[in-house]
Amino acid sequence: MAVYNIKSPGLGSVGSYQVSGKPFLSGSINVATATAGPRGPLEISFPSVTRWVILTNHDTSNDVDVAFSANGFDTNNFFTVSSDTNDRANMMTQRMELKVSRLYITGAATQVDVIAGLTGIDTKEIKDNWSGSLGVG
Amino acid sequence: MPYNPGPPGLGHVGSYQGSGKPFVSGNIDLSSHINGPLEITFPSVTRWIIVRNRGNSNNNSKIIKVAGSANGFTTGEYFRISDDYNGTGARRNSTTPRMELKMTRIYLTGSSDKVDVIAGLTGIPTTSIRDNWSGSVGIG
Repeated sequence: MAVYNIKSPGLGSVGSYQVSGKPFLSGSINVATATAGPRGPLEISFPSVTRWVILTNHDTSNDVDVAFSANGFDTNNFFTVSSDTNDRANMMTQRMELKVSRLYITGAATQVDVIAGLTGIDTKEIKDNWSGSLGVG
Repeated sequence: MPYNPGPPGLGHVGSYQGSGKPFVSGNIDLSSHINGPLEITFPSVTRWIIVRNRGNSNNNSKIIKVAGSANGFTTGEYFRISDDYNGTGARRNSTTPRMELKMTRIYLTGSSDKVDVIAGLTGIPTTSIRDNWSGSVGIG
């Protein structure tokens, strides 16, 4: 007798991106401490593929760099979230509608928040978080 | 004979309904590009684009221009992004909204030393858009 077995959605499951995300919050990240010395960039791993990601830098004097692979910092495939000095507009990202399984942050900022909306898509659907792709590094 | 559907076309709705594959080109020093605009080439058609100008000045001297073709700068078919700090606070136009645009390239010019381009990519090949819409009204 055949058994109907519902599998988890794939990376191209449009409906997974049309509904709102399951929340993922990681706040008050001390990037300076987490990346001190030989530790390298801090990796934020999501439990499932993201539908969107927002980063906020509340540090009043230090920027934070963001990439989607650790290598991206060496290949200029990163962007910077400005410090919160004088209410700079670039201290918070837009809601970036990106399907990723990890992101990497580095810098001297001590007050960084990561907010994401998650799909139910397994992170295994994205091989190595796009690392090696043009624009990711 | 096996069925081979090929890559999605430019009008494939599902490609724009899913979230994008990331593309980041950061920390761009436009002030060093003195021989014409800087071309940013995407590996596939974009679903959305954000351009951020993190340059600082008191008089907005690090304002930048963004166009869809190099010719757009001479035909007035471009927009501007202010720099991020005027001496007392932020300029609200120092970052774009998430612009939901299907493009294969953008062009930047200006004197800012800190510009980031972030995009969400579809899986649609760039060959689906002939010359990045160049020649169209609004592109130049």
